[in-house]
Amino acid sequence: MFGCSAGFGAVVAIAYFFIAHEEGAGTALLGFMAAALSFATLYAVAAERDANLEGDNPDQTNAQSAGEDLGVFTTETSYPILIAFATLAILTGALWSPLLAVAGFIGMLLCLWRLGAESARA
Amino acid sequence: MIEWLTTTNHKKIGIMYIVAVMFFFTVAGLLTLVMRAQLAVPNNTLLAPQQYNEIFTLHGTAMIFFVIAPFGIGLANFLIPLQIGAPDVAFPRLNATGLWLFVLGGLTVFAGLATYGGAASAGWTAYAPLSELFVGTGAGQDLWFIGLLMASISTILTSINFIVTIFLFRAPGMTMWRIPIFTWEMVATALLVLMAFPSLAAVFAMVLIDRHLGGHFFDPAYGGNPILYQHLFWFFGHPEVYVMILPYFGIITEIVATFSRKPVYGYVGMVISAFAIAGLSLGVWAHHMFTTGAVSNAFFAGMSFLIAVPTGVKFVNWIGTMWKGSIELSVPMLFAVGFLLNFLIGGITGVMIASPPLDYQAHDSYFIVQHFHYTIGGGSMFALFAALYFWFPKMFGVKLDERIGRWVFALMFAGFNMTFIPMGFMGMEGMARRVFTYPAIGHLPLLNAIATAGSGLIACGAILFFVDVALAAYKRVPVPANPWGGYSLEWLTSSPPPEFNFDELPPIRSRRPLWDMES
Amino acid sequence: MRTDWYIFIGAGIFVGLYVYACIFWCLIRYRRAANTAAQQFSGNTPLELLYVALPLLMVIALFGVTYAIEKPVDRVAVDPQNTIEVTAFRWSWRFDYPGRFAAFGTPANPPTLFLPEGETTEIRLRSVDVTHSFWVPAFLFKRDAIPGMTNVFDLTPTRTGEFIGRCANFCGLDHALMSFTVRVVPRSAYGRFVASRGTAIP
Repeated sequence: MFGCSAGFGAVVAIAYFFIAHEEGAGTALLGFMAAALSFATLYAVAAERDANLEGDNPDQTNAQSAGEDLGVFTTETSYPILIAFATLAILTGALWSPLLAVAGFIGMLLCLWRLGAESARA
Repeated sequence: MIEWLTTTNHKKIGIMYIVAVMFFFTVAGLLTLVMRAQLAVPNNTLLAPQQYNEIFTLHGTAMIFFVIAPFGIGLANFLIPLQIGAPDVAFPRLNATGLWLFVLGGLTVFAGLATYGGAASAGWTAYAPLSELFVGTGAGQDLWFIGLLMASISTILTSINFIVTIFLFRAPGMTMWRIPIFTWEMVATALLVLMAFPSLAAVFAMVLIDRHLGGHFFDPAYGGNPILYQHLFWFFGHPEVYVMILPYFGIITEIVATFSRKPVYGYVGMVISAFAIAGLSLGVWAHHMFTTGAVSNAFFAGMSFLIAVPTGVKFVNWIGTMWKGSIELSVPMLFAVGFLLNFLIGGITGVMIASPPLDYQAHDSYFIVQHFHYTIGGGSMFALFAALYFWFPKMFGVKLDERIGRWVFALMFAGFNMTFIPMGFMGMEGMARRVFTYPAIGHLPLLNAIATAGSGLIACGAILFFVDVALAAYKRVPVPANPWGGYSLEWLTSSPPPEFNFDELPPIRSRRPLWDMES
Repeated sequence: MRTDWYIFIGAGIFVGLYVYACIFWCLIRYRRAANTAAQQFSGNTPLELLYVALPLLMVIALFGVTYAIEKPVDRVAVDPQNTIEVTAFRWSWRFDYPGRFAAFGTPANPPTLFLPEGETTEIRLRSVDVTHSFWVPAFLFKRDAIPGMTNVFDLTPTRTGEFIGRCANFCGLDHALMSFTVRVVPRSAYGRFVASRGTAIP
């Protein structure tokens, strides 16, 4: 799908360049489509490499395909809502209060650091 | 209570999305009623011009970014793991982060009301240079940009989550070609979000730079170009409307199939058309710019016409699903039928305005207002209520009252059409959109009065819906796992589901695991 | 352009009624009381392909109609008989006529645009502040006024009369009051109007 849209984007961008002389939009579009194409390529490569999903085997059952126990993920954590507040602080601070922005940025780094620690623990 | 603020469980997060959505819906709805009251008679003085401009901006912004789009996301949050047989999404903490960014973003946008200059008032499209004026007293506009940046980040993160979950977390036997159509639509939606939302983030960042850091991206006096804003905004804006409809296409598909007791007709066609719509939607954005004289009208008209084809395929498939089925008009199905009838009108008017000569008349008039309300309101909103009635039992373990639900539908359907049919005529008679008043000429006073009355009916329907919810909470009639006879995996587990969704999964051998179990 | 509207409305009504008929047929004929056993089929590839081909043909036809009608509308004559510069500002209009005189208005006092009947008037549209839009509903036409660019289009009125004009692109506080009047007058009256630098109002 990404391949198709990248190709389509190339056509549209060409159309843009020559028909509408809207160079800015055409370049932006080419940029997007280049990004889409690279994503598609990387994904296709990765997918082929790891294409051993139980979900893709039409005949498996849970018992047959149960693999190793990966452990549980965190079910209760306060970092998501704190990250949201940190984001708000950064954005509002960027416009009106550098102090708030810095505080938000530090808060964000703290949250991300603790999130990493949380994952390592589990 | 703290549990809800810190949970990463996709079901709780999905429910919180929906609760937040209904909160924003109520606030935006009340604002709408005031708006329509102002427009009930010509030259009305109920609202000052600035107040009206703030209200319609908040109405559009809230309904688009904080009601219709996030409801799809919230419902998907609840449903996707259940439908594919997974215990949760791929990144539960990221999921929670997305939720809180969204909630805070919405509150930030509305916080503009409390600022000195009032809330944002440049419309939901916030065209530059208009949105770049009044920086000193325009904190409300800045808060609007910030709130929407947060909401965009939230949507992007959640879309990544959905894509990874759907591709990697399917239960054994649940191949991609067996997942329910709702999940497929969410794949298309999520991919579309990834392609389109960065453009929004970029253009809003550019406006903020213009407003606060001395930028001149859109100021022709310094070599900037207002048209650039329109391109970047609509490159996001048009895919956004498909983000606002694709999940609802999925909802309608599930409901129509369940209440016709049939498999989805043309499953492959549904999938292909979803991606065709998503792909094409990336190439039609300048049909919002036909009257600028700065784009290739022919190219974008052609592309816009093409989108009608895959949408038509979906209509054929929905009718095919009902054909020779055994149809029960329970409340979700009523809303689904309402969707079909309303969205068709929206789609037909859409094909009309895809034609630039027609758009030269219709653009920025109430004709356009009619078009997009029929698709987003008559379409997505009706599907929203269909989904609420359909999955409420699964989410909460209690059923909503059928009889009240039928009244909710009747009031909304009658009210909706009463409000928006006159608008097509208003547009043709020359009423522009985003106007706080209009002159007393032609049929405009009568049409506006009818539209206002219709909005009152919709409000009654909404109030009745909340009454229905309150009664359900009070009476608490328990429901079984599968009250409607649905076929996808979410109907297998209890209502509400246990923490990690499934105690035991059956073998999955087709698109309708529960049908196989029955037969 | 009116033809374009009728064609599309006609096609829309036709498609709408057809789909509505199918939906109501299903709802009535296959309701649970009348049809307890649902037939379990899930597709019919030839039929589905037909329903891709038919709408595709329809939209191609509609595109052809659109293209044929749009070309003359957008065409700008090489040699217009008349040129008027229209400037949009918050929140009214200024009309610069040939002969170097101008008329402008305020929200409370909308200006009048005089046009000669039967002649091609080239309008050169610009804006000094934000994006506006020059819309005359009776002409079924509008064009945006965007700062930094001049939009050029032709108006060739075919009958006299007085028509309302509006700003269609949201431009702030008094956007709703930013109207103007278009008066199409006989050629002779317009000629006198221009010659007298706007004093001999038709």
